[in-house]
Amino acid sequence: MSGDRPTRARVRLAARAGQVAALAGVRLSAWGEGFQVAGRTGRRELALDLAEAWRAADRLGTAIDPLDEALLTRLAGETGKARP
Amino acid sequence: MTGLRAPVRVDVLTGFLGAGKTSLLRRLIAAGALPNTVFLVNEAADFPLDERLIGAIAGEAGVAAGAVDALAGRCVCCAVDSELREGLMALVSARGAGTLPAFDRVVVETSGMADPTPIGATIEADPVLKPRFRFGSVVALADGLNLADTLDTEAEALDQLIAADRILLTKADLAGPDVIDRACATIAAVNPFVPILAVDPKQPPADPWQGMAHHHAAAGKPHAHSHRHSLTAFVVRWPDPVDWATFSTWLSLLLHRHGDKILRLKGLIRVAGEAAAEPVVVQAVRHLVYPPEHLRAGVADDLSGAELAVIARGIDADRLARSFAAFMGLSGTEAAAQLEVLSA
Repeated sequence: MSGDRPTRARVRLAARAGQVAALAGVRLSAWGEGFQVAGRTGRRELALDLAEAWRAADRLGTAIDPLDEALLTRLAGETGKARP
Repeated sequence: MTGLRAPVRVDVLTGFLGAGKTSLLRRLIAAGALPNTVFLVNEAADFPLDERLIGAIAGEAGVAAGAVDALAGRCVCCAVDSELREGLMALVSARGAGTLPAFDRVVVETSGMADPTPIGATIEADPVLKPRFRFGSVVALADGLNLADTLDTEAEALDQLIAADRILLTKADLAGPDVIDRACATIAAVNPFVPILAVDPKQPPADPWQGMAHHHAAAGKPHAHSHRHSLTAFVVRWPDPVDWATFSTWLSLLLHRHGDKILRLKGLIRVAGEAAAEPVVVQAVRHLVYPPEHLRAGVADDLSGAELAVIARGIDADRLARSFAAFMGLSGTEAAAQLEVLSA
């Protein structure tokens, strides 16, 4: 994974995934051809793809479940906020 | 340089013990129905009988005997990280060295007791295989006479039906119409999305991997019951074009958390902002997502949004549909996902 400038599509993808990752208490951003995930303490991990990024999010934040009712409620709260 | 060639398609022939895989492969080779194809034969027995039979036929049909390889003594699902990889790379090397004729397709015949799913996973995950091969489709043979009994006792037979893109019903000529109907109903209860064709042993076989289309999931089918296998098959429909970043976020998180329960997911997606383009087909098996492809023109002209066909175990279909809708809400498309449960 290089530190080359991420493509526009990757930045868009990272922004959307980051919106969800924030609910796990981590910051997810585009990094080269992959992603960077940062926990609250500042610890960071690089990920090649979103599958790796979610695994990193589990380690650095709180595990979230897309089928969890509580998460769906929180997502409903996100709807309508400023969108990337 | 090998990397400059188009990736070789890898198709899979699977089916439980005695379903007739080797017999069909022999007939296909003899009929010349599989041109430019080499075969990887996986035989669970210590003595690779299938390899010898197919090798003999391949020789008669003018195919180099070296075109037939065997993963002898091992089951594909136990050997994917090594033997299958080595087998595929040996074919590439032999082609490069000129000891094997040019080929543009590999057919892997799994052992009767193999789950074919790891074959695709191996190709997609391996950095050496991935540029050279692409996973094609899975044809599963099902014994029309004994299918229900086999499914009750053999988990791998269930995996094979779920993984199949097309099912060929063998021994249909030996079974009466009632038996065939029951076999089709049994398959539909496990995988209501897969087309089923009966094999006619009197007719020369046609290439069973050709003509695969990504059809819409059939709507309004009578519900089947797969309670014996704890499976649910359902379709989630969404009326509007889908933001690709939002869909990717949802699918990746779903498979991350529940991939072990999502046995098969196939999505036809009209992507927002790509109004002129054909919809995209996305396929996932457990934790693995295959590279998305645009559909051929005209296949899904009436698709306005998205359609997800899912086979799962231990997943609440209604909650998955609401999850999809909740994520889509993040991109500003608010609608209700329509859910159709085909078997439960």
